[in-house]
Amino acid sequence: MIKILIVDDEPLACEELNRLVLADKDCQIAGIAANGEEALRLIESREVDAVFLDIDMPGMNGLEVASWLAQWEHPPRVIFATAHNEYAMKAFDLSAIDYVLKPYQPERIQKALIRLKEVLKVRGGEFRDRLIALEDNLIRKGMLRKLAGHRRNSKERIVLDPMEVLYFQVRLSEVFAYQESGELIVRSTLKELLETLDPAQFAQTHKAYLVNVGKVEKVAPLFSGNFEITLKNSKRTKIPLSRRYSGGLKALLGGW
Amino acid sequence: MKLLKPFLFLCILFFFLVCFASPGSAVTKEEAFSKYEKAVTLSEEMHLAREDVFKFLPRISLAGEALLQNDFNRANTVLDDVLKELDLVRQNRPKELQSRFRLEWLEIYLGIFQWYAVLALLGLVFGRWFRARERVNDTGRPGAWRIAIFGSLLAVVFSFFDLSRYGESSWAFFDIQVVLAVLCGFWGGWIGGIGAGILLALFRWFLKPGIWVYPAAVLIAGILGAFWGRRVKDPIAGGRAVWIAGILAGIAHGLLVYLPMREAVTGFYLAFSVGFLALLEGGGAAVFCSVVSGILKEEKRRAEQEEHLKTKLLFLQAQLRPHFFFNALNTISAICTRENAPGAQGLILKLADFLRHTLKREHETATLREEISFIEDYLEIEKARFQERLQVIKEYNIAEKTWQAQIPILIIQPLVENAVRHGIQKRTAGGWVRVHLEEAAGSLKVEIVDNGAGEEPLFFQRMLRGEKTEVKGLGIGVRNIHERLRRHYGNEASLVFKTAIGEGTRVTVIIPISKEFPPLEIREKAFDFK
Repeated sequence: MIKILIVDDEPLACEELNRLVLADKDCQIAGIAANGEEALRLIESREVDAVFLDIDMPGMNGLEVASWLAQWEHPPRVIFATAHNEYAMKAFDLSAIDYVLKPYQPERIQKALIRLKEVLKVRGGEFRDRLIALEDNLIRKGMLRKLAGHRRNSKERIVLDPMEVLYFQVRLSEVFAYQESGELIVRSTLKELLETLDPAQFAQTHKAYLVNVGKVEKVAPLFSGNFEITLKNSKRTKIPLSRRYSGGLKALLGGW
Repeated sequence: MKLLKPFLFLCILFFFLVCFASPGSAVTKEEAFSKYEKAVTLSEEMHLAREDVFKFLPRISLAGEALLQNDFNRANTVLDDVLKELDLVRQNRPKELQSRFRLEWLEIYLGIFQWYAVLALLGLVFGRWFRARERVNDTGRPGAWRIAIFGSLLAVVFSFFDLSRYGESSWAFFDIQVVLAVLCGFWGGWIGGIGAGILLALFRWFLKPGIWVYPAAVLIAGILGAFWGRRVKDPIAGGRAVWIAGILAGIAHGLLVYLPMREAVTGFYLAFSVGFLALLEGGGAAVFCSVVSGILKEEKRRAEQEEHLKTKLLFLQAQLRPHFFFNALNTISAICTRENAPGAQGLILKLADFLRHTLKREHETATLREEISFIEDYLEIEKARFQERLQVIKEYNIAEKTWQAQIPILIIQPLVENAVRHGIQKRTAGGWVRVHLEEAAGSLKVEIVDNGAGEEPLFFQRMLRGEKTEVKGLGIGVRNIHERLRRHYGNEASLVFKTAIGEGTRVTVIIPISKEFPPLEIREKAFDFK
């Protein structure tokens, strides 16, 4: 028996999916969750083989739930459900994750369940890789407010909240994110970061620097006409602000 | 002025009186000799033209011989004639000089026009191929250096035209190098302007060592161009700045060249030369820039139009609110289950499919299978509307491979829709629509036949020719299909209508499929769910 969790904020959609899943004799419903947090709780507390996960939900959306699941060692299989989200659909295609479209077509659900059964026969941990690939795709497209990186000499992937980052720096074609706890190599380029990060939160201060505006303690002028920024961390890190970018930062900080 | 005519008349009268009065008196020796001397000196002073020399010299020497033989009277008449004719020649000469002068000026004007044409052509090349829209602020230093080096090379090449034509550089007058230096400064910023200025100054110093005026003129022109161009962010709007820069460079050039000779010429002449030079050089720079800005404007307009169309499409899609729509259809589908209405549910799913296909149309092509399934969804929905009044006959005689052929979207579906809307719907008894696919010699033959109302036999020919037809909303669709087929395939595709009132319509479309017709965007590879 395959235990399936249905996650959707619309009761009628859950009801319909419930019926379509139960049409398959090998499947049973492990539970129905109306939002992302509840879904994560249920997955933790019960034994769940697969999740039908709606993308558009209030609070924690389906993509964020998947991003959480990517950190688990053995996440359940995820089949996304969406009405019309072309960007997400493209990301699913790229990371080889199945999805169904609303309104649900009975044949399509059956096909998804048959695939699921085949896959679950040969258990393997590689589904986590797909979730990670999906997370990377989503981060790159700016659909998750998150960053993925790793420490030097380590393959272990760390996902971080951009708000925690003090500043980004390019060094020899690698982009580093500096946090209070240390530095991390980020997989995006500075340009991609500029596009995806909140422009009210992050500002470019130099050809190779991007600073979290909320972490700026003070800005001091230098003789060259450039400036120096002191950050709010414990080490009082100083980073350069070149004349060229000073206007933008000044506007963000409300003058100095 | 009124007195002028009588005065002239009196003069002529007096002249005649003198002429006719004199022959009466006898000719003295001195008189004859002085006339001879006068004729000789005149003929020498005037630098007579060759044919005139042959005309006058024999006669003067004849008079000389007569003088030697003391035949003063004969000498006198000959010399009188000669002097009169010499006088005539002298009177006519200023005109000749003037006309030569005019011709030279004409040549100069033509030369300036030619340079203007060259500048316009350069502007065209620059605007088209050198990505002028990226000002130097964006291209950075290498770009500015490129502009400086390329501009000065071009200027050097141009100066050789003048050198080979006049054996002398024309740096004292309209100077293409000054104009190019201004333009380098304008488009290349400080680096471009000063770089080109220095390079050209070096060239001039090398060509005419010791004369600092000409090198200074180009250098100043480059600096002026950069100075006036430094604030111009949008090259389209920079016309006035470059005009001013060109005029100032022309004034500087004129002053440098003509001020040293201020003692030899009048103030008016000086002012005129400098002003004229300024206008010409400013105009040259402005011609170049106006051509470039014209090209950029056109490009911008085109981009804006495209953008406008795109936003319009996005706006239309947004108005449809697909997200809301599909969710709503999903809810209705669930309610159908609850209330046990499988027929309604099936239709809703078809409708959703149809809608999704319409929305997905971002590429211009689709596989035949996609297109046909789109048509089937459409017919399914229409069948539900018309019930028994609409029969659908499908005849697909094609190989499996052909289903994957790429065809332009919305070629077949509108024709099927026309058959239903204008053929079957108009006929109370209803009728059938047959969709027939077959392969023939590398082409796909699609036939859409209905036994509906039909039109008069020449209806579609008239419509394709663009004549107004009464049926609303039919013309554009069919003409559009025709246009697109021709654009994609030229004469290899065809669209043929056969119809008669009361006998239905048969539309035959032939689309070549042997030819590779790649999708506009390579779609992301399909995946396997393992």
